[in-house]
Amino acid sequence: MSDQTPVPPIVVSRPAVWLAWITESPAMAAGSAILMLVIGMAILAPLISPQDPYDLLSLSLFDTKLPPGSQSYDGSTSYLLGTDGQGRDILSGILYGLRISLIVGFGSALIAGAIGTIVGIVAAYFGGWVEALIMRLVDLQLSFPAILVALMLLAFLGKGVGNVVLALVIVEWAGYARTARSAALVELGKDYLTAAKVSLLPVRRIIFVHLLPNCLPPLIVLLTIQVARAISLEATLSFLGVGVKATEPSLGMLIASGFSYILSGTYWITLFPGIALVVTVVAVNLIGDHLRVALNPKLRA
Amino acid sequence: MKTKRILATATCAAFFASTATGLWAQDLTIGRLTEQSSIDPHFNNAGNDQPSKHMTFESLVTPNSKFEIVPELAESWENVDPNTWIVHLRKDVKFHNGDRLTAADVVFSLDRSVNVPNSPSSYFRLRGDITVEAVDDLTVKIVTKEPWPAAIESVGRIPIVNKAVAESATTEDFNAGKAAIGTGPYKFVSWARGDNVKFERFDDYWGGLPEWEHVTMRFIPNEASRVAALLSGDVDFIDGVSPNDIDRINGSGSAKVWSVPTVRIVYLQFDQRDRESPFVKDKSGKLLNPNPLMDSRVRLALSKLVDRQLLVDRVAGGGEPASQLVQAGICGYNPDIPEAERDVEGAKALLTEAGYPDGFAITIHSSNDRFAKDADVALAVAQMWAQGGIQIDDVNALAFANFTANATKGEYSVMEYSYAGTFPSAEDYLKSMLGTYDADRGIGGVNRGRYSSAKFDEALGKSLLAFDRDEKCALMSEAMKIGMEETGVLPLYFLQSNWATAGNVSFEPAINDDWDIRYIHP
Repeated sequence: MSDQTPVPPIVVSRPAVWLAWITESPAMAAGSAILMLVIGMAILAPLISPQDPYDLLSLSLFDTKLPPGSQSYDGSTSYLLGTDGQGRDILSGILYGLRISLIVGFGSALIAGAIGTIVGIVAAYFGGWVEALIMRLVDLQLSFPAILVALMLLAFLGKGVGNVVLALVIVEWAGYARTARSAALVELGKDYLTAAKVSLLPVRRIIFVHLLPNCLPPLIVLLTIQVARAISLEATLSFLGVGVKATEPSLGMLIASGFSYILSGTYWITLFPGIALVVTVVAVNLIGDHLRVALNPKLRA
Repeated sequence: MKTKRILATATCAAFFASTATGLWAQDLTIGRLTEQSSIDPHFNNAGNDQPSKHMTFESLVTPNSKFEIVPELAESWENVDPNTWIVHLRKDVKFHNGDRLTAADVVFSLDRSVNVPNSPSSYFRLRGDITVEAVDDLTVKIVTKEPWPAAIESVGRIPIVNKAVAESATTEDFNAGKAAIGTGPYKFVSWARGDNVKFERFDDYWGGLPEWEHVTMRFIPNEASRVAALLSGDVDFIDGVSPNDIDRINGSGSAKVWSVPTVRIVYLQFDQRDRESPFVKDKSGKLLNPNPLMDSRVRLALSKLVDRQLLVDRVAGGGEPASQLVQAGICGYNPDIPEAERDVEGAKALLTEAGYPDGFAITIHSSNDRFAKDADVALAVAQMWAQGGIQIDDVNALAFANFTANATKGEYSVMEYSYAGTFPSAEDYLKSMLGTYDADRGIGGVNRGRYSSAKFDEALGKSLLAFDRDEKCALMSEAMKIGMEETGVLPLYFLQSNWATAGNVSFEPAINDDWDIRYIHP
């Protein structure tokens, strides 16, 4: 592979090839394994968590701030990672919180990615005032710090998972648009696209069948990085109290709710959700790093 | 081991030496949450100015740590007719510059207190509409426009300055120390903005030799830093101790927390405007009409679902469960109002009777930065209501500024608030929290739910007119009973305030939440 220079993305079909590719680097293997585990736990959360942390009826104020390993006051449950100030099981809170993190992370990155990519390629293909208009809009969007824009949007939209995804899509699409445009401009200068154009193929076909697939490598890398970024951004927003509803806490909100107790010895409310968040973000970043190397021939010399 | 014993002996020796000479010669360093806005005692009538103000300046009367009004510069007063008060001043009072206190200083001070340029919060509310004159050197006559039974408790709390010094002084002259001449136990030394303010003992103080020789107040707004300063021995006393830190401080062995349930009550207000309330819905999400919160049975049911003791023990970090708006011992408290107990079955029966056998859906709004655990308490109430069949759509905790702006506009249905009266009486509470909203008459000032009951208003009106104190208290406790029977608001608990001292310093916790140098003892 290393001796064939500019190649379209590696087309892999057989599971064995996939596996070989994943295990090629230990970081990639670890990242994928952890992410699979996290996704599995998040999907199975309602089955494996001892408590439904979003059902107020299953919480009890008699069980507030219990240390890890405590029994509930009626002896029915044992709290492996302790409870928070509302009697919520931290383990269950983490499992359900991971669902929110992953939904927000992947949801917003994929939607923003789809919108940004199409907009960016369209700008590159048509050029002229279309490109100028779109790219100035992108410049405008990127000149504001993401967290600030998201904060303002959520203050306006109100709390909730759907609104967090919407806010993150709005702050993230521009990055994809810029990357997609530059990748498309490179491809547009190549002969196969000139050939496609002179063959009078329909524009839609040129864009989606010829241009888009060849622009994907940098976008896939960006996507993975943005998933990790969106997960931490959601946690930040929830930590600041504008993310999800207080009755349905995500990891960021759990961390925030235990934050004030850290110095008084009640460490578990913040520590465990914090570890879960860090592990998830690091796993996604490990995969992103590997993809960056794997999909960029220049880095594989 | 040996060093310890030597140290102990040395400490004992020092102790006996100091008692033997009768001179404590002790210095006190305080770690304060807030910084005063000015040294001019009339500049800002706000809580953050209080600790330093009362070092240097005194007033005719003052609240003590039990929130009782006691004489300070006034020796006695009499009410010659409903509109006229004669106040006799103490004879032996000296200002820091050696001048004697005279009636002219009092007249000047009461007039100056509402005429300070750029004052963010003037003493206008305390002074009211009065005329003041000096009868002789030690007698002051105060004439009110209307009969005002609480005139002394109110006007009497305005700080007294030295006329000769303050007449030509500006607020800046006070801040620089030039005009900071009062009658208080400590003389002003210096104020380094953002860092500290220093005082020293006033040897000629009329109340006897003050207990501390030098007092330094350091401004440490950060909670963790304040606790750290106390535990490391940098300061001897801190205010604004969070419930989270109580165990840590008490467990340190070198410091101690002093707590008291204050007169500040934490309570829920219900939107009782006659319309659809924005956050009261049926379980399918449709706004309910009529608004169930208009029905006193529904409000009582919501009250019965709350376990106040559990809230205090497990969530609020201390406090005293509240079944009415003031604590026992305060004028207007009604001993006949039963303690509110949790009764889920009773609540469900009331909801069924009111036509909501399956409950309804609601969102609670609260602040998240106004008092300790405000957001947590709102969540815990939601949990208790959910157990009674109320569907909780959301618990929304916002920054106080946003929260209160929207709440005042009537945009919420259930609001968690706290309130503390200025006087040791239920009057403020009844008038502001439960009286039918009437901006012109100054009634219902914080009645954001617009509770309005003719029966309550009548009882309140009677109590406001009463002049005799005992009669007034009895009438107020009548009004209290009506307001609580109708659950005009839902009292939750009296907020606990915490302070901490290091070493052998002791403290009398103040139930009105203002601390004073007079409560801190070696």
